[in-house]
Amino acid sequence: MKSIRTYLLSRLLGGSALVLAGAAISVYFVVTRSLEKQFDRNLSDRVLGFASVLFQVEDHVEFEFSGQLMPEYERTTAPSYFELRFEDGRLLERSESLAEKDLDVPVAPTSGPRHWSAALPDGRPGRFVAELLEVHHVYPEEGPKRPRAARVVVVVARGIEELVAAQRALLANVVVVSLLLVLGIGFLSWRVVKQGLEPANRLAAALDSVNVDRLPKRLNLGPLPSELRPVADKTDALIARVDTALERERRTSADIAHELRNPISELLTVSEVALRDRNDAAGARHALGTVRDIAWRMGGLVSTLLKLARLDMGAETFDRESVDLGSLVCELSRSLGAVQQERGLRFDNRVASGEAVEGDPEILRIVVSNLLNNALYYAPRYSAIACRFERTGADWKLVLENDAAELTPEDLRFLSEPFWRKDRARVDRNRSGLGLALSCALVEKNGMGLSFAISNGRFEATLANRNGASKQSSS
Amino acid sequence: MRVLIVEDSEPLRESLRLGLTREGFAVDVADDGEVGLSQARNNPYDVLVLDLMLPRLSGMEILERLRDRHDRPHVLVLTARDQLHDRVRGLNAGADDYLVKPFAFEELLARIHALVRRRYQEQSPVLNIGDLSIDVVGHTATFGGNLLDLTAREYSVLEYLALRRGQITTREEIEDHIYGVHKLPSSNAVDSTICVLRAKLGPGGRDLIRTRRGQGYLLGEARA
Repeated sequence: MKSIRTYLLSRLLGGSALVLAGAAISVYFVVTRSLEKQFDRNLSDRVLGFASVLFQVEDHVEFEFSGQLMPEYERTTAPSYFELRFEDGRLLERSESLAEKDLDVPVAPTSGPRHWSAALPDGRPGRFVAELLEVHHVYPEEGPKRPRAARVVVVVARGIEELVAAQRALLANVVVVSLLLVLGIGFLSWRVVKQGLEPANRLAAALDSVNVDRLPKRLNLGPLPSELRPVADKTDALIARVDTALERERRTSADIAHELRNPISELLTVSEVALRDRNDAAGARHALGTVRDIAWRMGGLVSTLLKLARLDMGAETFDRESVDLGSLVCELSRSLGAVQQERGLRFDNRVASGEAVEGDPEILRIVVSNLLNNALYYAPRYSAIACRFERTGADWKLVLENDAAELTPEDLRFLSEPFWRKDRARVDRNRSGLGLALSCALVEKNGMGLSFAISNGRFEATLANRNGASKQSSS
Repeated sequence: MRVLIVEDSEPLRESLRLGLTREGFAVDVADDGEVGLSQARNNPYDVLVLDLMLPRLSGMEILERLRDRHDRPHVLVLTARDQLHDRVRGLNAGADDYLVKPFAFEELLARIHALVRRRYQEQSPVLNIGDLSIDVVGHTATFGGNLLDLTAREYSVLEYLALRRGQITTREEIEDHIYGVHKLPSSNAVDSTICVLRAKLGPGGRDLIRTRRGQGYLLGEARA
C-alpha cells in the first residue's frame, strides 16, 4: 500500500461507482420494463376497443369502425395497423395504412393478448398484439336456435419510436445522474479522507519537527483518535528511549574526552617542565620515561574503547573451549594477593579446582579478573570477599560477593555504563570506569550473562551461562 | 612563596612540583583530598593548586571546608571539567582562579604569580623599594640599576620581605613561606640568607633590611 489516502479514495470511489452502476442498471431495466408493459397494455386496450365495435347479427359479423375516432390507422406517416380475420383465416377488416398488405402473425392467437416485436409493414420497428375475440351478439336470444358466436383474431401493431425515445432519455438521465453522484461521492470521500488523515499528518509534522539535539519529552499532538493514540504513545516511548541512548552516548563522549584530558595534561606538563631546564639530562630522561608510561596508559584506554566499539559493531570473534574456572579464580586471586594483603581483605574462595565451563578463555579471564579486581578494590578494608560456583544441570554460575555499604539498588543499573562512578570524586587514576562496561559487553557477545544484586549492604556479581543468567535475572 | 599542590595524578603532581620548585616556590604536594585539606589547614600556604576529582575528598569539598578560614590560601583550581557550570560552581565555592586541563605550564605560573600578588595586594609585577627593584615574573632583582646575583633561596627571601615591606616579618614566617613541609631549615638558615642578601646589596643597601631584635626583619620604612 503506497498511500492510505490513495487506498481509501480508490476503494471508496471504486465501491461507490460499482454500487451506483448496479443501482443505475437496475433502475434502467425496471423502468424500461415498466414502460414496455405500459406500452403493451395500451396495445391490448386498443384490441378491446375493436371488440366494442364488433357485432354479430344472426350469422353476420359487423365492424363499425370510424376512421375519425382512430385516425392513427389511416394517416400516411408513422401509422398504426390493425387486421381482423375470422378464425378460419378469412379477412374481416384491415386498416387503410396496411394498403392491402397482410400482417404476419408468428404466434398462435389465444383468448388472451399475445405480444411480440417485429418490423412494421413500413419497415419501422414495431410492437404487435394478437388476441382471439368472441364477437358480441346484438340480439341475443338464448336457446338452441341461437347461432354460435363468431371468433375473430384481432392483430394491432404500432411503432415503438416513442418507447425507444423514452428509454433513451431514461438511459441518458441515469448515466448523467450516476456520474454526478460518483463525482459528489468522490469529493465527499476526498474531504472525509483528508479530515480523517489530518491527525496522521499532525503526527508526521510533529515527528518532522523533532530536533535530535533537543528531543521533546512528549509529542504535543493535541487530541488524537483512539486508533492513533497507541502510535503516539509508542512514539513518545521510542523518543524517550532514543533520548536516553543519546544522553548515554553524549555522556560517554564527554567522559572519554575528560579521561583523555588528564593524560594529555600530564604529557604537556611533564614535557614542558623538562624542556625548561635544558641542562638537566637526568630529569629529561625521567620525564621521557614518564611520558612513555602515560602513553601506555592512554593506549590501554583507547584499546578498551576500541574493543567496546568493535563489540558494538559485532566485529569481534570468540573461541569456545573448556575453561577451568577454579584454576582461573585461584590464579587471578594469587596475582592480586598484594592488593588483598595491603587492604587487609579476607578472600574466601569456594570454587573447586576442575569446575570447567564452556567459553572463550580470554574473555573469561578478562571478566573474572575485572570482577575480582573490583571486589578487592571497592570492598571496605578488613572486610571479607567470597567467591562460589554453582552448577545445576547444564546451567552454571560464578558468584562473587563483597561488602558495599554505599551502593544502593538504584546504582545497579548504572554499573555497566562506561565511566560510571558512585562517587564523582575520583577513586583511582588508574581505574578508568570501563571495566564492567567491557565485561558486560564481552559476556553478552559470548553467550553468557553478568548480573548484579545488592542486599543488606552485600554486593553480588554473578557470571552465568545464558540459561543460568536468565534464571538469575528472573528470580 | 609557598604552594600546595593537591593532585592525584603522580606524573602531573611531580612535574608541577619540579617546575614550581625551579621557579623558586616552596612546594608541598598531596595525592588525595584528605591529606590535602589537612596540609592546607596546618600550613600557611600562599597558593593552593587544587584538582577537583580527588580520592577520598573532592576538591569541591576542600574548597567548601576552607572557605570560612580567614588565613586560607588563594586557590587555583586545576581540572579537566570545562563546562561553564563547573567553573561557576568552583568559583562560587571559593576558588580564586580556574585553569582547565590541559594547560601550558607558563600560564599556570603566570596565574600563580597573579594570585601571590593579589594575596599581598600588589598591582604591579615589579616591586620598588627605594633603589631596590624586584621583578616577580622574571625572578630578578636590581639595586641602583645593577642586577643582583641571587640564588633561588635568596631571591625568595627577598621577594617575601618585599611583598611584606613596611611590616616586621618573623623568622618563622620566612621559614614557613620559603621552606616546604619536608625541608626543615637549619636554625640559622634565615639569618645566614639575610646576611648574604645584605652583603649582595652592598654598602648602599645594607640598611634596607633591618633587624628588629626579638621580633624579626623589616624591609623598607616601617608602616605607621
